[in-house]
Amino acid sequence: MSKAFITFDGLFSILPALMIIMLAFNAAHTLTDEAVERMNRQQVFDKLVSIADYSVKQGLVVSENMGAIAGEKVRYPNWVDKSKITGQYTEDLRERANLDGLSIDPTSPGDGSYCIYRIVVVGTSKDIDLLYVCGD
Amino acid sequence: MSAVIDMQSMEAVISLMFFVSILTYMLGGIAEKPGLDDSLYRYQLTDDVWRVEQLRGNFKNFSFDSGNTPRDEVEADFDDINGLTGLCIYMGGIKVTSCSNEYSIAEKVASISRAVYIYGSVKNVTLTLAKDIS
Repeated sequence: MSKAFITFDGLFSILPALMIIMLAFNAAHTLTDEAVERMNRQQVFDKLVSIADYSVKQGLVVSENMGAIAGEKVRYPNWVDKSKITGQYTEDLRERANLDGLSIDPTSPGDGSYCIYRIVVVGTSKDIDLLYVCGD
Repeated sequence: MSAVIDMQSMEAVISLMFFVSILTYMLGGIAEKPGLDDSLYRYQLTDDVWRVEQLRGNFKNFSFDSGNTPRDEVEADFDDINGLTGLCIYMGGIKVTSCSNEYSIAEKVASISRAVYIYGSVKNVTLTLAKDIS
């Protein structure tokens, strides 16, 4: 009689403790998942920002020989030469940034979970345009 | 004995409720946290506007006087940028887009300060990008 009571009492004590432990594990798991997901999103976004900045300041800009130093070219940041936007250029950047997908498009947002744009000028008339950089 | 079990159960329930409330508070805090940190990107966009105007040569002989041709061209360009991006642009506190005239009702994106040669001397001018929330 006394033994049965002890078992019953023990059961009532262990059950809430187990539930609390399970909830704690679930909460820790959710917190970790959320932190990892947030970090991944920020990483992809930061990579796109870097790629866009590199493209409008160096990779895709109009450059010309000024003759001051042999081989030295003068670059014009934010003045984009559309002919430099090639599949190879995009693929090289995608590989370097270790992204699953990347598109650089001067007309419309391409494929990708995240898209940003930069304000640039294009052509000899320096028309105002946008350069879209999308990826995931 | 029965009274002891009831007491223990009550303690367990109170502990569980306390724990669940802390858990709810913590998880709620996560949901409320802002998404991406895009502060650098916003400053880059603001700098883009400045750079584009430089490239188009609109700061040559620029002044804030009405009727000043470079100023009119800057305003026209800002209208174009507004059409492309939906962003309002303020230069030196002056509204230069088709956005609402009330500076206070637009949500600021970023501000930068740049030097321009105006009225025969170099002046610092603030360029601000904002979202029209009217």
